[in-house]
Amino acid sequence: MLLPLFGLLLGLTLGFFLEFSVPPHLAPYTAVALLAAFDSLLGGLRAALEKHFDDNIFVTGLLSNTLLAALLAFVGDRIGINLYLAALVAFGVRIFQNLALIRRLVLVRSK
Amino acid sequence: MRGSSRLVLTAVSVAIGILLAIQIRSAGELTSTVPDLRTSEMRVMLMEAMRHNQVLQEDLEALRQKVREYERTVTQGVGALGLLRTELDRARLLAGITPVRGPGLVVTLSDSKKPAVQGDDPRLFVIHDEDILKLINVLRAAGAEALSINGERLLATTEIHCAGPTVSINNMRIAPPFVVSAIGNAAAMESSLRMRGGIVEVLGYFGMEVTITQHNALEIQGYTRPLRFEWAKPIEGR
Repeated sequence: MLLPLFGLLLGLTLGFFLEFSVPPHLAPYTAVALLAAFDSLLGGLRAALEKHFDDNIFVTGLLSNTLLAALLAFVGDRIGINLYLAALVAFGVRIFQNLALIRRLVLVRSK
Repeated sequence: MRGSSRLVLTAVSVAIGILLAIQIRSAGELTSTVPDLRTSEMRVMLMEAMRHNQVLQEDLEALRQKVREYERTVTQGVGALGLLRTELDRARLLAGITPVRGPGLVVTLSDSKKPAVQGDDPRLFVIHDEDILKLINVLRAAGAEALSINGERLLATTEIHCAGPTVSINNMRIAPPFVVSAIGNAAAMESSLRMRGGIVEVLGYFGMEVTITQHNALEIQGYTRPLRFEWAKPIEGR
């Protein structure tokens, strides 16, 4: 449970020292994609705690969510409506749900 | 948690962490630093250029004063030199680089304040370079001897040209309202402007605001920037 958390912190520090930045016009897409990836990560954690984690499901879910979110943002930009809001709301809600479940599972386990 | 799931989740966590950090840094650059820096930089450059311009303008005025002084001392007295000086003053007056005073008109042109009606071409309701050109032409036909628009003296080489939302006069961008000063026979100039079917009537039809005031002692500034003739050279001996 703690290892992914450390991984996240490690990644954050690494990222801050990396000399690489997103081109400004692509930033909205990567932001939504990142949210999708984060949602997948929490979903994976939850599945691991519920003991039905599957590598294939996790990886394919992660990729498809990320790509779909970026695609949605892109298409929304082309047709002039803020389609990325759909991804934002959907993934936002799921992040909170997953977080709540993880909290419960951890608390139950530690009892 | 099994070994493989732990490994995959950790690897993905690291990747997401890196991406998140990059995103945060990019977004920070995007929103705060770049445009702010650019505008403040430009502002400083503009201020610098304006100050420089001001200094040069003052230098120019001082040099001009010196030239006038030299002329006065050299051409003091009568005879050929005195004649030369009157000739020079006359040439200056014609060139439009001396400030002049006399009776005349001040004509103010403003864009139409009529509320826009759907389907009307909005271009019909703003003052164009052509309107100013026509006005200047009418004034000249009525005997105007010195003209300026928003302080820009009209010379033989002056252009009155459309420049986006502004009008370019002596290569300066002039925005409405346009204040045209004309020295000449005030009554004659006003009546030719107000002629039936004349320019005031036409502009008034589109709601443009034209005001004309007569003055007894109107002052018009001379052209103060350097005059350059790059292509036209005088032919010797004529």
